Amino acid sequence: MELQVENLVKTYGSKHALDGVSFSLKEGIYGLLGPNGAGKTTLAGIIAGILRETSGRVTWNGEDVRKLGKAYRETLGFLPQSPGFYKNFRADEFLRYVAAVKGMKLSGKELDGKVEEMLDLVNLREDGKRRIGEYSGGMRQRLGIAQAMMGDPELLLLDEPTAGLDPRERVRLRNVISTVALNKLVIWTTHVVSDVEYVAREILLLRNGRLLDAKAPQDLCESLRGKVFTLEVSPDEVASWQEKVLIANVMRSAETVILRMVGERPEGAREADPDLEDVYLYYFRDKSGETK
Amino acid sequence: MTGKLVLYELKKSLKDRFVPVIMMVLLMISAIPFWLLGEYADAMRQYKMAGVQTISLPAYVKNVRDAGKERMEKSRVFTRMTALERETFENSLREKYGEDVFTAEFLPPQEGMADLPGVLGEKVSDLEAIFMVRDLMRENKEIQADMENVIRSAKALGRDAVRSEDDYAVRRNLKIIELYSVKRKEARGIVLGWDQFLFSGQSAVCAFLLILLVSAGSFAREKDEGVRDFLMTARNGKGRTAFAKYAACGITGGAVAFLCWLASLAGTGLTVGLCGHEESVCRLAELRFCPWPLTIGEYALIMLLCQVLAGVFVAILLAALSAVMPGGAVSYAAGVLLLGVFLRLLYALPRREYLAGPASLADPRRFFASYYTADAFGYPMQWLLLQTLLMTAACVAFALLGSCAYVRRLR
Repeated sequence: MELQVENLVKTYGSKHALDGVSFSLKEGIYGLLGPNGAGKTTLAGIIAGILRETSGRVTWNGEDVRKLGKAYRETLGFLPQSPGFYKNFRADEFLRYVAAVKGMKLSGKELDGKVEEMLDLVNLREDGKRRIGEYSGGMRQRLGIAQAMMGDPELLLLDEPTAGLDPRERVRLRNVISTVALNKLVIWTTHVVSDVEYVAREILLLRNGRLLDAKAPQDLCESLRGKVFTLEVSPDEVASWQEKVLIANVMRSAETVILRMVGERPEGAREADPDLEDVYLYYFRDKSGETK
Repeated sequence: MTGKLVLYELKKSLKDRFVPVIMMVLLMISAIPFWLLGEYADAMRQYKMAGVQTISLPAYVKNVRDAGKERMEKSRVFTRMTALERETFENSLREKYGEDVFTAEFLPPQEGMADLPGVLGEKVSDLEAIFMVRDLMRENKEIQADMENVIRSAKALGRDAVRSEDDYAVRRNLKIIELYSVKRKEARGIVLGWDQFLFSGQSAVCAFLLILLVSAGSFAREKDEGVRDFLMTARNGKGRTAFAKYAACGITGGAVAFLCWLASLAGTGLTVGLCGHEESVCRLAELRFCPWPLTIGEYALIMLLCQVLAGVFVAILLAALSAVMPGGAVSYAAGVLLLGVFLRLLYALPRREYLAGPASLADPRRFFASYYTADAFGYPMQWLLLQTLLMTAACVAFALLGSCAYVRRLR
């Protein structure tokens, strides 16, 4: 399986939401990382087929997805950024409806089993008979993930799937996706580094509609070697340092403060091993040094 | 699979907690005979003028129902007679009260006429039986005279058409002579409740309001609930879902039209009673000049068919409209406008032959409202078929346009 995006451009008037984005993805989990307004949702929408590109194309296994039509939609599972539901439906009822819309040919018993399996996967089994209108935001998000995974799609497109989830649920979802990602291509858009840091095969960095880089997480971190440092300062020096350098973390010890910084090495600073958060801060800082 | 999608679409409309409640309310309104209020007001006005004490509405309704029941009981014996029994009954009254008992202009009261039991049994006196027969004879004569008048007019107009070499007018008048020469079914019993049921129109209005409620948000709901993105990426989320929506709306529209018709029928039956469905439609003043020899029951069924078809068409048009609207509120507003236009055509008097068209689907009596509309395109039944085809074509066209708008990718 292969998804190719070729020179994708999307403009809204004079604004370029996407500006010549190109990449090729095979099996595995891919993190699409970028700040708000980077173009992640626009890119996801075009790949999903719900937004029209200004120019460029998207191909699936070598064929233009617009020409594939139904055949492409059969392989696709999509979780939009703000998934919607029918408030008066129960969760299990909604998943049965999803099965019908996705054209899943299952007997009554098989469908019941599949629905239960999905509810179990997203930890909603006990609330499966409740109306969706009574669900919290996190529960709806989980139901949306279940909806995307119904039908065992080859291409799973998740737009900010962990929004509204508590840390325990985020970890749980990460583990679930890792498990089901075998023989799938998963594109996970997020601006939360920890979502994809340990599970993604490759991270694509998107900023202002442009693809900055696309590498494995460890390679991205390695590319920042020699640019991440720690420095011990007194508490009243913190403010002045924040104005001079890009601060990744401020950690208080007994009487001093340890600053983790990204950029040029200041005097007295010790080199540190870069992580993906450092990469994010480095790539997505603006001219003033503030992170976007 | 499409069947399942249709069921889910029906579920989406009916699962809203307000829809069943509003449905019940509008069905009840269909059943309530509001025309009775007008009759009550007129009756009380006359009571006051006559110096008689007025009565409450429930008491008036009870009186109307009881009077209707009594009339039905009394005429039941009479209407169940065979032709031979009827002849024997009439002969026995002629023997008793004179040969001209049914034909004399004035009927002087004779001894025993008002006594019970009469010839017809314990509940009907001879006087009541005689007046029943006289009324039916008079009505038959009037109907026959009206048919002959139409034929005479058509012959005269036909002669004019021949002189002016107007072939279309000649054919039209020949058709009228042919249609009105068919003998109408003789009046044999009372007709009760049918003119109130067939011409009140409230069941059609209630049906259209319900159809608006259920259909106008059909596509817009997906945008409002935020489900559209999911549907656009699913295998059956585009064309099949659109088809399922139209099918569900059509089914709901037809069912609602039928239920409202049924509720109105039940309401009239329970209030004044319904009797005489086997009588000729000519017995109803509004349908005296109906070109075909239909019974009242047959006409009621044609009206039901027209209302159900109109319900289906309106539902599909409203659904198609909702597909091009940006959201639910605008969709309902546009639906109200469309429905307003439709109802205006329905209840406006036809000024031109073709304007009778859309109205006729839900109200076939528009065929007969004037000499012109009774013969639009030469044959009213053919016009109904043609209209059905045109409406079907319009619905298909709008449905396709709506579907294209629904499935298009956002810019």
